[in-house]
Amino acid sequence: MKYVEFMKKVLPLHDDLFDFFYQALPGYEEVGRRRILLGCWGSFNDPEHCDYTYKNMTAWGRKMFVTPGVVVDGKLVTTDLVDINLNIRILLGSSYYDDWKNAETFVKADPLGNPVDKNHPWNQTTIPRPQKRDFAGKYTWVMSPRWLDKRTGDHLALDTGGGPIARLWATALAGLVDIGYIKSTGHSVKIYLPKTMSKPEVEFEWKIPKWSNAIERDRARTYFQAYAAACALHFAEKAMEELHAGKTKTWSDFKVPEEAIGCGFHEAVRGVLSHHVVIRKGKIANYHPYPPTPWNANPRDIYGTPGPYEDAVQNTPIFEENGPDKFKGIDIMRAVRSFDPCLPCGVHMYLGGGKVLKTQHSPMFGVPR
Amino acid sequence: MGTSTVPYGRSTQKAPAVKEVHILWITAGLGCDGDSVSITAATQPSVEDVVLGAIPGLPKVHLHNPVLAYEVGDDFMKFFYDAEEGRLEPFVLVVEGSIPNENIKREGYWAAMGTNPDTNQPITTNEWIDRLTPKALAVIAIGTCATYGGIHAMEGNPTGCMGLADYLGWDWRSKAGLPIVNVPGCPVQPDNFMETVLYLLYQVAGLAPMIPLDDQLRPTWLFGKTVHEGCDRAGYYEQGDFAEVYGSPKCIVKLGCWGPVVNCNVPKRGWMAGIGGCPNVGGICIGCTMPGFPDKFMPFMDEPPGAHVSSAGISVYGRAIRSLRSITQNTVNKEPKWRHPRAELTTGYHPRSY
Repeated sequence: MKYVEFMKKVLPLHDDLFDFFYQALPGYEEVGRRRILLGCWGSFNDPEHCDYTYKNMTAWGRKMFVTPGVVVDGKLVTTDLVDINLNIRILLGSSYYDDWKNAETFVKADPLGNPVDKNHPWNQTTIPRPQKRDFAGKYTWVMSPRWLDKRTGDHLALDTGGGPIARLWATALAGLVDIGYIKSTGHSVKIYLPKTMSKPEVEFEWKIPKWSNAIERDRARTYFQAYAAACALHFAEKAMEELHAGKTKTWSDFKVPEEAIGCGFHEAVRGVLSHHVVIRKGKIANYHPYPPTPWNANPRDIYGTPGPYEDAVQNTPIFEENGPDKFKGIDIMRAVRSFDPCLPCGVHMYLGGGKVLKTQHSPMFGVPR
Repeated sequence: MGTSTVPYGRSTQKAPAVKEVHILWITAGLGCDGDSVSITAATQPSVEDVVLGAIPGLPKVHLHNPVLAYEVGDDFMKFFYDAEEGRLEPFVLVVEGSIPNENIKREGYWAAMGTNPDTNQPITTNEWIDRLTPKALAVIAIGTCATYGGIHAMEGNPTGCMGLADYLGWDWRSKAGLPIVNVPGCPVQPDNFMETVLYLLYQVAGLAPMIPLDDQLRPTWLFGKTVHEGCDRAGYYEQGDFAEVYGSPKCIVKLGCWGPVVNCNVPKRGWMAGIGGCPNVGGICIGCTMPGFPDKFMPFMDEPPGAHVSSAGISVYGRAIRSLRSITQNTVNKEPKWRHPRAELTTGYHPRSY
């Protein structure tokens, strides 16, 4: 409850801060902005519905307390985990690997009989080829995960937006979550927090923003913290019911099968997390995890499509007023951090010769200059 | 009355022999930065205690860790170039992540930090180790990757990676005469690492004798006991009362816990501020601190061979059990033979493309 109280204090404060950015620095919405291409693999399973079978995955996926979904240009393309699964593609193009065209195809069809692509994680074979770094050719060990949009045939470079913005966006549009503490309205997410020690009850509402940019990714973070706190209250109530009913078993027996394929979809803090495994003779024959980093931090693929970081920072306006000698790259850092707070350490600024395109000063809080 | 203005209590305090120390920390081995993240949870002492001068007798400490640093890009890398050129003295080098074998392929790099301005190619982690270790006062390997190779160094791996001591040599000594100091764990237990840093800083300051290490270069006071010896479930073991399922407070050896033969203090120490620690919260020990990890502990979640012998013969006390266990313990305290710096890949992986 202390955390709930804390959220009541910091959420409005963060909202103020982010609004202030837009007011003080007109045009700041362009920093880290990219096309709305968001992926969320769903989180917080409902034990009343989730049986962890592939056959029923579509149904129990939609019962998750954070709805899985792919959002393209503001439209919810799917909330179906089977659809999400089957259209994942792992592409090369700028990465230090050979392709696996001639390697084994582990999985030809999923348990529902749907065909599985050769570039799907179930069939990936990792063949490293260390080589010189060439920014016009191969330049990274990261591969390029994409999601195939069947409507257009495009391999979309989805991002996770650091996790929260994709989770809230998909959940808001889907309109499936309604647990008392959280209500998805189809265009927003309402978050109810009850009375705490020094604060009355409050309802926050995260509304779908105009942009997928650095500020809105950061704003979504604070809202998702409140969202998670509200979910936790619901879960604690359910847990007490179980406890009072004497249902305290936390574990069920399992046996590793001789032959099987498996997959799992979840949200890590920073966004989508999937696992794909092939088991043969009781051992792992193939296994590929895709955490948020490769989705966000990947290079140009075989079709020339840049990964989200590259996409978000290329041609971004720079608001920093330090000259080239003292340039810190704060806007670039802010853009990359909005996808992943762990990454500023991995971002290194290289300043080329460059040329001045346009000089513009930002207003300084009403101080004449 | 005396005229002395020096307070009585000050007589035991000493100024450090060295005024300032830099800690240069490379996370660019094969790893996940998990050890850097882990140590932010330390409380005995905390990173802040050490860096802000909260502990009497310590030199002023400047920490340069890419995950924790305020500086980015050139501003961050400057310290590493300065150290290489002898302009940043004295410094302690911390290496995080497994050390790949860069000699088993024709070109490219497995792991790197920064860009060589002459070639425009990345500077390999191995090259940084070669540049900096001769100038370091002490070298610490943090986490099981850097100490013994860890998960990346398991059988069949493509990079031929290894622990720092495999790379530099187990007899390696710093210019100050210190061996490599290994603080294993996956990730490292936060206080184990910070306490080791604290000890070394005291040693550098002239306030502590040579750090006591075992033959795997671990601080003896941290890794001298087994998980089992510090475990709050050990009483059930003594009574031959074993958990058959998770969620039980009894001894979890039959579920696959390797605690009886693993050198680690986590049940005693907990994880954060004394709370947590694998078996304390129901998790089996999979030997993540050990040189033989992970190969010699797999498949995880099967009952370890030693455990079966000992749980069957639990009525026989004392020396007999200890000697049975010491056989297993010796085995898991050795790294697999493919972790070496020779220019050949012997992990069982057969590269088709390099």
